[in-house]
Amino acid sequence: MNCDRTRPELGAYLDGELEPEKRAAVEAHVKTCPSCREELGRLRRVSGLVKSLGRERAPEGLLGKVMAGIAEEEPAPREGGMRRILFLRRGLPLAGLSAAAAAILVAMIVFKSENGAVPGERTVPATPVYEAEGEEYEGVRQVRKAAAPRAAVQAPEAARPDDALVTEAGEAKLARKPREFRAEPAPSARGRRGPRAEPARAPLEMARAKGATLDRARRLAPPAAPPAPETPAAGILEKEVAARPERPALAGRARDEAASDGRLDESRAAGLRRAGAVKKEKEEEAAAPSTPAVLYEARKLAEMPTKTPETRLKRRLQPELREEEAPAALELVFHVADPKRAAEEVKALASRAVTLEEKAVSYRDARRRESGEVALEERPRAGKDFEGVAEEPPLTGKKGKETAGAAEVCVVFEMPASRAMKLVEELRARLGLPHFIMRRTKSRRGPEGVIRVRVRLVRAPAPEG
Amino acid sequence: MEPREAELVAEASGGSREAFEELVRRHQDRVYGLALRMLGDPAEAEDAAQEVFLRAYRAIRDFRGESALYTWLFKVTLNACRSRLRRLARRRAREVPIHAAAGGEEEADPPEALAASGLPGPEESAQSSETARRVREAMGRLAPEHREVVLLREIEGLSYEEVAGAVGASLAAVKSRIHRARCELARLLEDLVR
Repeated sequence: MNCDRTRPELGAYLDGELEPEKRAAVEAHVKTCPSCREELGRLRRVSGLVKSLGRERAPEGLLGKVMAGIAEEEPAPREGGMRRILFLRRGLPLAGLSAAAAAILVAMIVFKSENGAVPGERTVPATPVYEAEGEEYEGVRQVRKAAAPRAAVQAPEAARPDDALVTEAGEAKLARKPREFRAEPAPSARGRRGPRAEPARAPLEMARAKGATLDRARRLAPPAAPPAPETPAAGILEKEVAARPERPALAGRARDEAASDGRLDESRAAGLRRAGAVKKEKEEEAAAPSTPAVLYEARKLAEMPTKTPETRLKRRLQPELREEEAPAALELVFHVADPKRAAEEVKALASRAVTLEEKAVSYRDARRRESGEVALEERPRAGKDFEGVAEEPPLTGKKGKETAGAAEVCVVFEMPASRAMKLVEELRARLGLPHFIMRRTKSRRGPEGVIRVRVRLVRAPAPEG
Repeated sequence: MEPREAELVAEASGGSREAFEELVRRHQDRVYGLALRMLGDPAEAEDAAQEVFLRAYRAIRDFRGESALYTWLFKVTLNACRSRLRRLARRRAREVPIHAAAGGEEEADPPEALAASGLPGPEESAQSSETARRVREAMGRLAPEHREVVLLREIEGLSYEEVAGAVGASLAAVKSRIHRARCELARLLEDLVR
C-alpha cells in the first residue's frame, strides 16, 4: 500500500472503521512511512481538539418550551384520545385497517405573491358567481396570460359565499357546500360513513368560514373552486377514511375546543378588522345585501374552534404570505393504501387544476425518506416544475418510472390560491390528518397568483405487527 | 438504546405526554448541542431544538425503532438546521447590501460569522478557552455537510454507519467527508496540530 492509497483511509483507520485487512495494510504502511505517520498524528490531534469541545447543555427552559408548544398545538390533555386510537389501530389488527392505511401523501403548495398583478378594468360582479365557479379557473389562466388585473382577481370573491360569508345566501351555501365536495361514497361504504361524516364536516365548515378572514391568498387570488366531480374511484378512499376511527375523534375534539376556547386572539381580531374593511368597500361597490358582514363574522369566529388543523394551517401560512416575494411551500402527509389509486383520487379532486407532472418513485427511494421526517430533504427543483406550464389546458404530465406498484406517486398541480386551499381541505376531509410542513422556496418561475401543489403519495411499509 | 427508551417511545406513540417529556429530557442536550454547533447561534439553536421536538412529537408514531432514537432525532435536527441555514443565507443575501449601504455593522447572521463569533463554551477554563474558540471558529468555517459529520462523529460519538443514517448519505460518502473535514480543520488549525 502506498501513500496515495493510504491517506484517504487514515480517517477511518483512526476511527476504527476499517475492515480488518485494510486496517492491517494501513498499519503496515504507516509504520514504514514517516509522512503518513505524521499525517495520522495531525488527524488525531484535530479529532482530539474537536472532541474537547464537548457537548453543549440545552438551556434550562427548553423542555418547558417544548412541552408548552405541544400543549398549544394539542390543547386538550385528553388528546390522548386520538393518538391512542391511532396507536390501537397500529397495534391491533383492527379489521385489517392497519394494513390498509399505509401511504403518505405530500402536497406542497407554493404561494406566489400577488405583487406582479397589473391593475385592470374588469368590474366587480354584483351577484354571487358561485354557480359559475366551474368556469373560474379558466378565468385564472386568462388572468395569468393577459397579465390581467388585480381587480379581476379580487372581484368575484366579494360575491363568493363560501369564502366571503358575507351574505345570507353565503350562509346557506356554506351549509350546502361540503356535500358537494364529497364524492358520493360507494354504496357499501355509505352505511358506515354516514354517521361519522356528519360531525367531521362541522370543523371544516367553520374553518372555511374563518378562511375568509384569515387567508390572504384566498382574499386576493381568484376563486376558482369547482366542486369536485363525483368519481367512482372516490369510493375506495372514502371507505378507508370512513372506517378510520380518528375522524370522529378529530371532529369531536374540534367541537370541544370550539366550546372551550372561543376567544379571538389579537392577530385574528386584526385580520377580522382588515377583512371587515375590505368587505365593506366591496359591499358598497357591489351593492351587496345589507347584512352586517363584520358582525356576522365576529359571531361566526367567536363560535369557532381556534385549533382546528385548518386554523393552524392558515396561521402558519399567514406570515409567509404577508412577506413580500415570499412564495411558500406546504407539505401534507396522509396515509392511504394505494398510492397509484390515491393519485387518481387526488387528480379527480383537483380536476380543474393543471397537472404539471406525474411520476412514480421506486420503493427504495420512498423508503429513504420514510425513516426520518418525511420529505424534509426534498427540495423543489427550482424552476423545473414550472417548465412547460400549460398555456392551454389540460396538461397532463409525463409518467414516471415504475408506475405500477410504485411506492410513491407524485403529482404536481398548478392552481389558483383559493383552489389550492380548498384542495387541502378536501384532502384532509377525505384522507385524515396530515402533518403540515411549511417550506418556502425561491422559485419565481410560476405565474403570478397561481400556486404550485405537489401531491406525493407514498406507500409506507406495512405497519409492524 | 436502553430498554426503557423503547417503552417510552411506545408510550409516547400512544399519546403519553409524560413519556415524551422524558424523551425530550434525555435528548435535549444532544439535539440542542448539535443545532448550536450547526447554526452557531444559541437563539436559533433553541428555536431549532423546539421545532425538532415538536416534529418528533407529531411523527413519533412513524418512528419504527429500526435505528436508535437519537439517530432519528439527529436526522430531524439536521433537516431543521439545513433549512435554517438556507434561510439565514437567503436573509444574508438580501440584507447585506442594505447594511452595506447604511454603513452599518453587518449583523451576525451568516452562519459562519455566528459560528466564528465565539460561542459560550460549556466548560471553558482560562487556558483552553482560546484554543476552544479557535476550534469553534474553524468548525464554523467548514461546509455544513462537513461540519455535521464531524460533529456527529466527534461530539456525539456515532459510528460511521449511524452518521450515514443521520445525514442521509452513503457510508463511503461519510467516510470521505469526515476525512476531508478533518484535513480542512488541520489546515485551519495548522499551529495547533503541528
